[in-house]
Amino acid sequence: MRSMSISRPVKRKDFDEKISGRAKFVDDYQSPDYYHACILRSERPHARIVSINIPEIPEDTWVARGRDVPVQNRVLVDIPDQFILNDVEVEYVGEAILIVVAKTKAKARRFMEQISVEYEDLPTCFDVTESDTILHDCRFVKGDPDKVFNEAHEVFEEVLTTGFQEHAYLEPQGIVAEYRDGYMTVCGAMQCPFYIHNAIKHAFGFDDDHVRVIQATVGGGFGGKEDYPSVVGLQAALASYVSGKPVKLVFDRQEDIISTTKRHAARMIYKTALDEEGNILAMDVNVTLDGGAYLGISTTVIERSLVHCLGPYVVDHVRAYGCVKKTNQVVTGAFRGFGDPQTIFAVDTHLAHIARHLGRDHVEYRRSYLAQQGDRTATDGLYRDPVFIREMADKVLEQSDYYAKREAYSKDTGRYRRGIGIGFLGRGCGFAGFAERDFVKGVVRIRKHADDTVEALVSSTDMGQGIHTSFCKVIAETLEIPLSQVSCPRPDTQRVPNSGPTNASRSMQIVGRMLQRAALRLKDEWIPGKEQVIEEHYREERDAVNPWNTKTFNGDGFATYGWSTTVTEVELDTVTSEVRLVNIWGVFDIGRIIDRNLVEGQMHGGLVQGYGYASMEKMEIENGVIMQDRLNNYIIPTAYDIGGIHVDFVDNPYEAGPFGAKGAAELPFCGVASSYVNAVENVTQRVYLSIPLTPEKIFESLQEEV
Amino acid sequence: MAINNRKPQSLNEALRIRHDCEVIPYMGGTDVMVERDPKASFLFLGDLPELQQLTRDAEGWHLGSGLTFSSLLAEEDCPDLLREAVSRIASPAIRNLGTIGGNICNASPAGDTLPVLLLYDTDLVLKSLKGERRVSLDAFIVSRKHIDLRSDELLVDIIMKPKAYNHFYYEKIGSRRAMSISKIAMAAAAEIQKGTVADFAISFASMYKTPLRFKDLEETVKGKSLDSLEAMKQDVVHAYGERLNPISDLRSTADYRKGVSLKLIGDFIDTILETFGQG
Amino acid sequence: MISFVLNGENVETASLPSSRLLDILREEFLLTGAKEGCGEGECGACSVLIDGKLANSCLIAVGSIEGKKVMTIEGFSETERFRVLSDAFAEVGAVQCGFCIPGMVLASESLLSVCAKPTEEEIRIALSGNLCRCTGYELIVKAVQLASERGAGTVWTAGI
Ligand SMILES: Cc1cc2nc3c(=O)[nH]c(=O)nc-3n(C[C@H](O)[C@H](O)[C@H](O)COP(=O)(O)OP(=O)(O)OC[C@H]3O[C@@H](n4cnc5c(N)ncnc54)[C@H](O)[C@@H]3O)c2cc1C
Ligand code: FES
Ligand code: FES
Repeated sequence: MRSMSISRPVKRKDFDEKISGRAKFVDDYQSPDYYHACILRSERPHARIVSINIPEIPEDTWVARGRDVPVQNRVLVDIPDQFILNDVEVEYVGEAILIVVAKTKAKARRFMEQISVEYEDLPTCFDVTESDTILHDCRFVKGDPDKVFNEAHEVFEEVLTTGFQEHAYLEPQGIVAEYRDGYMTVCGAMQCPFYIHNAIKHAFGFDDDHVRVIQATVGGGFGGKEDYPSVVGLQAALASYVSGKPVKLVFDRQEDIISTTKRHAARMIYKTALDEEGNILAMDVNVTLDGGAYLGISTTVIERSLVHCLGPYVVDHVRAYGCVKKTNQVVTGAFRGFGDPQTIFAVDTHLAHIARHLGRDHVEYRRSYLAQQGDRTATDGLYRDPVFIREMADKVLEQSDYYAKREAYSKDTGRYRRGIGIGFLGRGCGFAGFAERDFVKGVVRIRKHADDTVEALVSSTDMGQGIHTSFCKVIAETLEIPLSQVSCPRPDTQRVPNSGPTNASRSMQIVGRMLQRAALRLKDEWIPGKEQVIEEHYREERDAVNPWNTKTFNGDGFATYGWSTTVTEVELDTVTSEVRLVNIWGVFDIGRIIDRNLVEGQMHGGLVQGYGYASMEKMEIENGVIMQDRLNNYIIPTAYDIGGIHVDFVDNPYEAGPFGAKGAAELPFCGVASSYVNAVENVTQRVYLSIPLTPEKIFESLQEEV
Repeated sequence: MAINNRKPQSLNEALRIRHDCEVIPYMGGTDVMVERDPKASFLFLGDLPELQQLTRDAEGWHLGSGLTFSSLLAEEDCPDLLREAVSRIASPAIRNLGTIGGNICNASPAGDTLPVLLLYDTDLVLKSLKGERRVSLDAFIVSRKHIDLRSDELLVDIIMKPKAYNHFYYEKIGSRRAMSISKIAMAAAAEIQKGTVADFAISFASMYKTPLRFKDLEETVKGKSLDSLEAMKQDVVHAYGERLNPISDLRSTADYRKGVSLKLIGDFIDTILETFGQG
Repeated sequence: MISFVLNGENVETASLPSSRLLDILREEFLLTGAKEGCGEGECGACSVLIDGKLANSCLIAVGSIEGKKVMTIEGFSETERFRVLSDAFAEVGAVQCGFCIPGMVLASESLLSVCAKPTEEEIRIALSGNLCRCTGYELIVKAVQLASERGAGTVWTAGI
């Protein structure tokens, strides 16, 4: 067995500059040469722009329009659908119409405020159940659900819903762009430099060499800086292209909230066929995601929702349909979990509700459907690696003293009453199917300098998760050299190859693995004092058992799976219906830990973000206008909202991951919601079908007789 | 203009500037800076020594309008109920800046000190070069963000009247446990003497355009024995229910606000009965 | 001219007294350790110490701090007290993206400078005006506990 020393924590590489305030985030880049951009945004959810009245443009001020884009005024991420600037027919409140560039932000804003837009309102739609525009849909069938449903003793049906969620990364989005001598350079807050690189090439018609994208220190991403920075990047690039000046475009918080992507709100119908004994025979799942005004990257999100519609459970006959519908609202996009937190919440809660309906113990009932090695996934793939979710369940039940507490709390009578709940999840790591092989085709490079220091050249970004430090560890450990000899710079597309985007918890499992292979080669070929460059390309290390079929959605969706179980202990104030988070326990299977501190930090952060999602993070959009548009009304947890957090791991090295590591960062987020709802249900003895489960909803439920 | 942004050294100087120039009084700035007008001319009052005192005499507690929340918390003489309310406001950093005078003059429906101050029949002393006048807090707050303050006046002294309350209740319901504008804030107090309700008062913030207190409803309870209080509890709650007509906004719903505040009233009465009742 | 003491040095600014201290620090004095996360007092990323007390520099009109002492992360990071905190943050792994971190460090300092041995609850309250979206706060709280243990009796009680 490989040594566990890799898990021992180190001081992260960027620690000193971050703790002392020296790290440069995009807004910290300053120069007397900079100009500043402001974006005029739509005030209407759907309207034709009849006219735009722009007063005489003063000297040293520019107005950039969509027609100034040389090739195509569209943002290419998956497909080129959103506009960089749209002054024809706006589709949501906050859509960008034009850009003003001036020497200071205040000047740009002042001029922008003198511009008036005449709109002609067009029909709107704000509700997915009323929308008849399907932006994308997909479906699959496993087994023979039609027959099984026909023969079922009973069908248990529920409609579960989840809300929009704001990333609320602490650093608002921003990009600095400079167009000079035919070269476009952009630098700023981003997760995926090559997405922006590609998008600029596409819109401006530049070739590879004339576009350079550099990542600044990033103040949190969580998916929010995955797809949307392509929009910001193109807008900043256009502002510089039109003005000929270096232009800084940094959003303030309100602008960030109203214009950038959100987690998809979802409506999920689960129908489960049961036999006389209450055994699950088949499931019919129907998922609708609110895509907002444009498809963006929602194709992949709905596909991910759907393939995870059974969560960690095994059901033989499944019929699943999912669609993304259009509404005249802000565009939804990537967010930690990428479509599966919605269905994982739904299926786990649904199973607990079935148990309740049958009068069975929900822990035992759910446990009996948890996957084991050799079982089949929802899409008829194989859980080929060891699966320890049942052992993990035992572990978390014991660590939290679950049964004793559940028993004791059931006797609570005072104003404050406690409850305890549990949730289970399993989810694929990395991209689905053969995306790595066929589309991403990642490349990494290791450069050994003449002084024998080693540099990892990858496009993966560190936005706080610490991946650059972990990469350095993998390389140092492989080469058996001190960590201080290895570095991993922030990506600059001129220096690093395209190792793929930073998302889907793929960085360590996929990019880390390529780096490990490169390091192994370097070790073999190592010549002291000589400059050496090693390049590695992605390759499949194991053949799929049941190869993924994109058309039928059948086969091994993922190379491997991550697992977790979460116990939540809450205290309900029966007078106010407020709920306090007393404790949360998580046990995780992320393969092997590359750095204990970094991984624990990811787990804590994910659990707390998941707690926010489940409980307090309410975002309402009324007539297309986001109500909670600032940090004083979009509420995320503070340090004082959190009780104890307890995380633990099972060591389950993944054979095709570096030192046995696999995807980690999204996992902790995805399992909190069902666990939290389960805990509140345990206190109130009511059933809840939607999150965020706010005190208002709990209060309402308590008005009804059980 | 820069020249109009003044930091006076004394209250008199401040009143002179207030009289002569169009300025926005700036105490801790935690309200004026949020709705910031970059061209605003501020009159910086935060450091005036005259406004930093907390004293007690026969008239009651005198709170300088410039006392920050943090300094109130540090004052031994700060009334307990006020301390409780102040300790739940925002965050340590905001409590270091925000002041009680600012909280009053901002006249936000969600001003957390207001319900407590109402329970103490608080009077305000407003000063100008011409002299001073005294108004009740109740009368001072005309409506949401609208106060009875003349353009040459400053709030200097806040007088909380002596009360013989011996039972206190405070509840702030926010969207999270810290850093949260209230959905409901309720302050309540009672004086129980020999098994009789000598005094009884309840006040709310965040329910309506202004903070609320219904003195006529309180009268129906005063003088009653604890037994009668117990018997009439549902009627009292019901009577408040007839009068409370809360708002719905992006923080909460009218149903929640109303339902929970009625439960809080019931709970307040229960705590009186538990504390002073026979059992 | 408005004069104040910035990280131990007397400085002056000719900006409008209504200007936000945050902007003056970042744009005039090029001290970018204080960040703008919200611009309205909600996130604490712009935290500084004013006369030793934690304050949101986005809510401060510079005219109001005439004559006062302002300490930013840049100044604080030169002190011995910072080193104890920094070591503790490093050891437990409390830093992720880092955007909230200068504010968190100053919030921790503002607590430890008046309360050498805080309880966990006191730490959580002291940090409650500093939002962090990455860490779930757990390791930051641990770091403050560790710093308080390490500094007890020596550094912390010495005061500034
Ligand atoms: C992030 C954040 C969280 C908050 N949370 C809460 C909360 O939980 N509960 C709560 O109640 N409030 C809260 N507030 C609001 C605010 O902090 C309080 O209202 C505070 O009391 C205002 O005091 P200040 O000294 O900062 O007021 P300032 O902003 O200085 O002034 C407020 C108003 O009063 C006027 N004024 C000030 N002093 C005088 C005077 N002497 N004479 C006449 N007029 C005067 C000003 O011109 C202004 O209109 C919060 C604010 C922020 C930014
Ligand atoms: S920027 Fe000042 S508190 Fe957020
Ligand atoms: S470390 Fe990213 S916000 Fe705190």
